Amino acid sequence: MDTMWTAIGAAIAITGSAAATAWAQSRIGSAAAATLAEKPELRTTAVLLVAIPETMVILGFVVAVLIVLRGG
Amino acid sequence: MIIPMSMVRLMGRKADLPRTLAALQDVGTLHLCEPVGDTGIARPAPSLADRRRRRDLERALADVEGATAGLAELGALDVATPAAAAPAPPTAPVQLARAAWRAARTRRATGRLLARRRALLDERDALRVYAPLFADLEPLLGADHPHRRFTVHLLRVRSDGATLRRLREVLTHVVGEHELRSRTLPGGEVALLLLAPTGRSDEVERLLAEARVETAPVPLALGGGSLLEALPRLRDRLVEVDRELTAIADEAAALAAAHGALLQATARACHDCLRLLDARAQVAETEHAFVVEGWVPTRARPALVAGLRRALASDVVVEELSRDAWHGSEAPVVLTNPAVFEPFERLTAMLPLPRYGTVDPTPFVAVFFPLLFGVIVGDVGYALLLAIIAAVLWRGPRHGLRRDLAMIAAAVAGYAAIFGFLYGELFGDLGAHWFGLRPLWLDRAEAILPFLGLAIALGLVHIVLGLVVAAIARRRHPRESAGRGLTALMLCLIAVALAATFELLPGALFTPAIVALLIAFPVLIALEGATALLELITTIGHVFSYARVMALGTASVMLAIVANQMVGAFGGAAIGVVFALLFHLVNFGIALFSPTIHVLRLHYVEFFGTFFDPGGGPYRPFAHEQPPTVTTGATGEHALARAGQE
Repeated sequence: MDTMWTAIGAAIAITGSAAATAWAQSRIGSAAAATLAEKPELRTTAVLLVAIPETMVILGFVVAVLIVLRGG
Repeated sequence: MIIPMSMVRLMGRKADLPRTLAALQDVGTLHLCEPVGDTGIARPAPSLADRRRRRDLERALADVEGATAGLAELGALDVATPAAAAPAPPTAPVQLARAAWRAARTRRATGRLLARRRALLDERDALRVYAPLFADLEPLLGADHPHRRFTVHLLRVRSDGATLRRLREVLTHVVGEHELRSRTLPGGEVALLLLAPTGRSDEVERLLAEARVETAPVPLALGGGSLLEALPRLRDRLVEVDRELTAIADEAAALAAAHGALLQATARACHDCLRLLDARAQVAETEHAFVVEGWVPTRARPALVAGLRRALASDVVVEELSRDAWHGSEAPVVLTNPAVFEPFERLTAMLPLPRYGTVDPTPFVAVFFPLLFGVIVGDVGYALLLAIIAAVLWRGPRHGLRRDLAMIAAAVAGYAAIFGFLYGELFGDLGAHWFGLRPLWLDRAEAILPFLGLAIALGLVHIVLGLVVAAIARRRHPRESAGRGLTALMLCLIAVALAATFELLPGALFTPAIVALLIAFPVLIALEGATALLELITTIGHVFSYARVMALGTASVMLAIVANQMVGAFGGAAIGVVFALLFHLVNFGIALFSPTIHVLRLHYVEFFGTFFDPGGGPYRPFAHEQPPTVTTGATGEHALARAGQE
């Protein structure tokens, strides 16, 4: 039973953060694409802005790993 | 690093201004600016003659560039290479006016050739599309062939094989005897050639209209009319089009031979004159005197003074303004770095130039970018692939983007190989299975928490380094400098306290570290204000952001291990090997893209945020337009070298 809850906890950690990242990146990505159509010189800023929300899923991954390692 | 600049001021009689500007343009190292103001002399508005001359020059330049671009599009002129026998630029007004007139004529002639060439190319493309179908039709049109009594329909449909089969069935059912040939066109459409009995033409056309099949027009170049009439003219026309295209190419080559070198020289002369007008607009004048000010790289200043002395003797006074007379934020920026660091200027060039007097981040990027990339990829096999890419990129010109990318790829390949041996990875665990490769330091597939610790420790070192650099760079602002230094110290104390908590350091260090933090915190608030807490928390978050190094690295090694497990997972070994290779290829693609983006982000957002001060202006010396060269130096140092001051 403990193993199951550990797995569910880890899954929630990665799922929630991945969904949040996906939502943020979809909004930022579409805005960045529209911006680049008008101002291609802003590509670096656009790439950076798209990459910023990935922190969430990466930290979610780290938390999931910690849950699995500590709980398993 | 950022090259030190000096600000110089030139003063002289107004009558000597043209000679002075000409001499400055010849020396080509002074970045002009508006006089700083303590002279009390104003810049006059451009005269009517100057405005008129600028308009004429811009018009002439547009003609020259239009003609040059046209000849380049016609393949008659290579704009990247200088003309073999380049004439002297037409400097005298009369010469320049004559050259501009020739440029305008050449532009008009080139425009006519281009328009004719485009029309011919379009016509040839259209003819070539239908040529195979017409070739099919030819044998059917023999005088004794039964199809002579048939009507020819040229059709175009956007459909698949099933639609064609259905069309054939309907035609057979409704029309009876017929001939249908098809060809797929480049755009994906299908061209159809239908021969149906002349007596059934009405039925065929009604059937095609009901099926909404589009009738393709006979190319206009064949003179319209029916297909049967147009066919004999097809081949003749194709030959004629090719002959006309050759004639256009010959005419363009003749134009380029006659005017190409002069066009290049005229373009340079126009640019020079426009720069001279720009320079005049920067000069402050009185009724009898002028003042010119600008920046020059400090080491190029003696050469500037010597060049002016040679040209003007002692007619013009040259003085260097003291550092207190100008603000660093106004000075232009030239970066110079050792040859091994120079390629990494490509990565820092994606952000604005640093402000003068601050720190050039290129050396730090050159050290930490390959290091962090290597920590993430850390695989001898992938390092070999990266080395192959570097070797391929290395072949080619000695300067330019390819060579810079090759050096960056070689650096990251080196670090990936080093960490590959430290992790004991060669295409994941393949090295362990085949060659008995063992980790020299860390098995990151198993030791995930130590790998996380390594990533955060690297982040701590990186951010603390940035804060120390900021503290040193802002030493003229003691409070800011002390604040950055204290933040760095507090990060170290937090790290010591955490390490003591997790028994990585002796537990006795925990209490002193916490006490030191409690003492340092009010001092930080006193130095940087109430926002210091927020900034400290943000900085701690930046350190933890380096956890992505562990996340990406773990994902990379896991994908490689999964790829290797595919060999035995699909029944046949051959299929498994193919899948494994494909999966490794995908993983390598991810390993190229993802670490690059994330390591760049760690630099731009986390590391640069501690010390980087953007906003520097580029160094644009007042100089002659240089003839085109194949060498494309990216840095200000190269610009300086081209200006002949090295």
